[in-house]
Amino acid sequence: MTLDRELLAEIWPLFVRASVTTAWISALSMAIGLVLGLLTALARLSPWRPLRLVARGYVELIRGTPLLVQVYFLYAAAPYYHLTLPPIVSGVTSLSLYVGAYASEILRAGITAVHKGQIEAARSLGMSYWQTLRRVTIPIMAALVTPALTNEFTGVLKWSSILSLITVPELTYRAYQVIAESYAPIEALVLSGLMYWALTDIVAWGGRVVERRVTRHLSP
Amino acid sequence: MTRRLAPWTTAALALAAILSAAPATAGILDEIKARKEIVVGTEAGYAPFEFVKDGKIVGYHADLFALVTKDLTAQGVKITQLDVPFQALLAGLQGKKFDAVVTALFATEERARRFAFTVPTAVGTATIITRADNAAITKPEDLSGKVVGAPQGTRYLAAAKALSEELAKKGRAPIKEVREYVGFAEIYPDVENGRLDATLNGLPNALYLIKQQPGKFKTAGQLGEQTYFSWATRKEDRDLADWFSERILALKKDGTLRELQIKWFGGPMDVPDQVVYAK
Amino acid sequence: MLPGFDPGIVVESLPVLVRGALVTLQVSALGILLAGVLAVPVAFARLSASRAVRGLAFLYVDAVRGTPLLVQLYAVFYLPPLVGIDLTPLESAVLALGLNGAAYTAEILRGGIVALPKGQVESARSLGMTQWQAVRRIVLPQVVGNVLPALTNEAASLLKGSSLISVLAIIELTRAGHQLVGRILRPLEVYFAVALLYLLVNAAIFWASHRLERRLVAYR
Repeated sequence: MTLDRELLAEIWPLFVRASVTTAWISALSMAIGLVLGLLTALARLSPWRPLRLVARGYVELIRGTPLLVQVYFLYAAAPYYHLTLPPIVSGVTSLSLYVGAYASEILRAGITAVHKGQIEAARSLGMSYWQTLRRVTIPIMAALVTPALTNEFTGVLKWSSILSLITVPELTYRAYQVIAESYAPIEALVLSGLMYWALTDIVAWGGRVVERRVTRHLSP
Repeated sequence: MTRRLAPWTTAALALAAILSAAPATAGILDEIKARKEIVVGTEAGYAPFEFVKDGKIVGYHADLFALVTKDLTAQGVKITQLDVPFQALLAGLQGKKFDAVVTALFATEERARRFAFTVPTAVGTATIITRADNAAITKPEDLSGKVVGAPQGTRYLAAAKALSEELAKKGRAPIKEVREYVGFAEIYPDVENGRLDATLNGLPNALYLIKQQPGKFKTAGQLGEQTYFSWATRKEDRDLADWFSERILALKKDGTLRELQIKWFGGPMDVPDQVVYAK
Repeated sequence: MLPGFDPGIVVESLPVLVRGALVTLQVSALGILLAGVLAVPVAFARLSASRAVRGLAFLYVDAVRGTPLLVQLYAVFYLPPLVGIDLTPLESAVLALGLNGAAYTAEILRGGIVALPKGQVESARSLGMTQWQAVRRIVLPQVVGNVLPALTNEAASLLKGSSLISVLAIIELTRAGHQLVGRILRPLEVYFAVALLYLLVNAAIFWASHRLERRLVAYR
C-alpha cells in the first residue's frame, strides 16, 4: 500500500482550502448553536410549561434522529416555504440546530449544578447580584461545561462532513471528488483523515487551555 | 466479497495468500463459475436504466443483465447486485469490491486506461433538463451565467465544465456555478425548486423523467456528440467484458434488445456494434 | 402542517422504509455488540502499566475520535481490499461501526474504572479471586452500572451513525428513503417518515436501557 506522491501534491492545496471551509462552517455553527443552546436551556428551566414542552420537543426531535436525515429534510423542506436556501446556509442551519439541542443539555446540567446555597452564601457575604454572577455562578458553570462543550465542538467538526452530501464544498466533498475522478481512494482518505484529526486536536487543545483558565479558582 | 467469512478468518487467509507466491490466475469468468457468485455494482438511482421499486433493482439494465447472465444462473451462479453511490462505483471496481459495474456508464478514453468496456447498451447523449416554465433556457448557450448541477464523477459533470470553458472562450459569461451532487435524487428536486437552473442527463433519462413527472420538466437541447452507455470490468478482466458484449450482441440480433428499449424508453434506438469511446 | 405536504405519501412509503429500518436495527445492534466487546480490552489497555500498550491504545482512540465516521466508513470500505481482505458490505459496516463505537465506549469505561475505589480489587484478590475474576465479578458490573446512561447515549449515537452506511451499498433506512426520493421526488414526505422511524427505534433503545438499569440496580 503506497501513496501516490504526485496525486498527493496535486490535491494538497485543494484540501487545505477545504479544511478552512470545514473549520469556519463548524465554528459558525458552534457559535449559533451555543446561543440557541443557552436559550433552550433557559426555556427548559422556565416556570411556564408550554415553553418547557416546546424546548423539550426540539431537543428530543434532534437527539432522536440522525443529522443526515435532518440535513436532507431541511434542504428539501425549506423550498416549500419559498426559502430556497443555498446549500451552505441550509447546512449551517442544520448543524446549528443540531449543536443547539446537545449544548442545551450540557448547559442545563451546568446551570442546575450551581447550588442555590452557593449563590445565597455569596450574597450574604455582601456580593451584589452581578458580582455573584460574575465571580460565583459563571465560573462554577464554566468549569463544569467546558470539557463537554469542547467535545461538542470536535463533534461538529466531524459531523460537518455530512454537508458534503448537499454539495457544500468542504473537506469530505473534496475527498469524494478526488475519489470519483481518480478512482484512487487511499490518498484522499488519508489526507482528509489527517486534516480532520489535526483540526479536532487543535480544538481539543484549545478546550484544555480554556479549561485550565476557568478552573484556576479550583487550584490551591 | 467472494467468501462470507468472519473478518479475522478472512484476514488470516489474506495474510497466508500474501505470504505464499500469488499463482497465475485463470480468467475471471472461470473464477466466477468456480465460486458460483458474480458480484456487480450498480447505482440504482438512475431511472429508467436502474432504479429501486418495492425493494428490488429494476429497469432496462436490470432486465438486460438478467438475460445476459441467464447461462450463468442456469449453472447455479448466484447474482449479487450492490447499490453503490455513483462516485464510489469505479473506485469500488478498482478496489475489487465487485467484478463488474452494471450501470449506465460512458466508455471514455481516460477510463479505458484502467477499465474494460462492453459494447454499448443505449444512447446516453447529454441532454439539458430544466423547469418546464423556464423560457430562458432552450439551448446549451443559454446556460451562460446559470447554476447547473450534475453528479460527482459523471461525464455530465465534465460536459458542464467543458461547456462553461467553451462559453468563456467565446467571450460569454461562463456557467455561474457547476454544483456537484451525489445523485439525481437531490438534483431533480433542486431543478424543480429553483436552486438549480438546469442539469444534464442522458436523453432516455430525460424523456423518462418528463413522462413520470408530467408538466414539471422539459429538455433544452443536447450537448456534444452522440454518446453511449456501456458496462465495465477491470482492465485485466477483459474476458468478462467481452463475454458480456457477446451476449448483448446476440440479444440485439434476435430483437430482444429492441423490445427492451421499447418497454423502458418508449421506442427503439440505434446503438453501434463496437465499443465507442467518448472523448 | 407544511404547504404541499401529502400524508398519503408518508403512509405509502412506510412498507419500504420499515424494511430499511430492520436493516438499520440489525447493523446497529451488531455494531453496538462489537463495540462493547472491543471496548473492554481497549479501556484496560489505556490503563496498562506498559507505556507502549498505553500509547497504542491512545493512538487508536484519538484517531477514531479525531476523524468523521463518514471518512472511517469509506476507509473500511476501500482499504482492506487493497491488502487482500475481502469483506462483504455488511461486514464492513459492522466493523466500521464497531471500531468507531469501541473508541468512545472504551473512554466511558475507562472513566468508570478510574472512578472505582482501588481497595475493591485488592480486597477481591485477598479473598482469593484471580485478577480476571476480580475484573469480571467486581469491576465490570459496577462500572457498567455506573456508566449505563453514557453507554446508552453511545448506543443511540451508533444507531444514528448507521445512517451513513448507505455509502457501503447497504439499503438501510436512510438509503431506502434516499432511493424512494430518487424515484418519486417527494423528499419532504419521505424524510419525514424516515425521521419518524428513527425516533421510534431510538425510543426503543432508551426503553431497553431503562429496563436494564432497573435490573442492574436490583442486583445491587
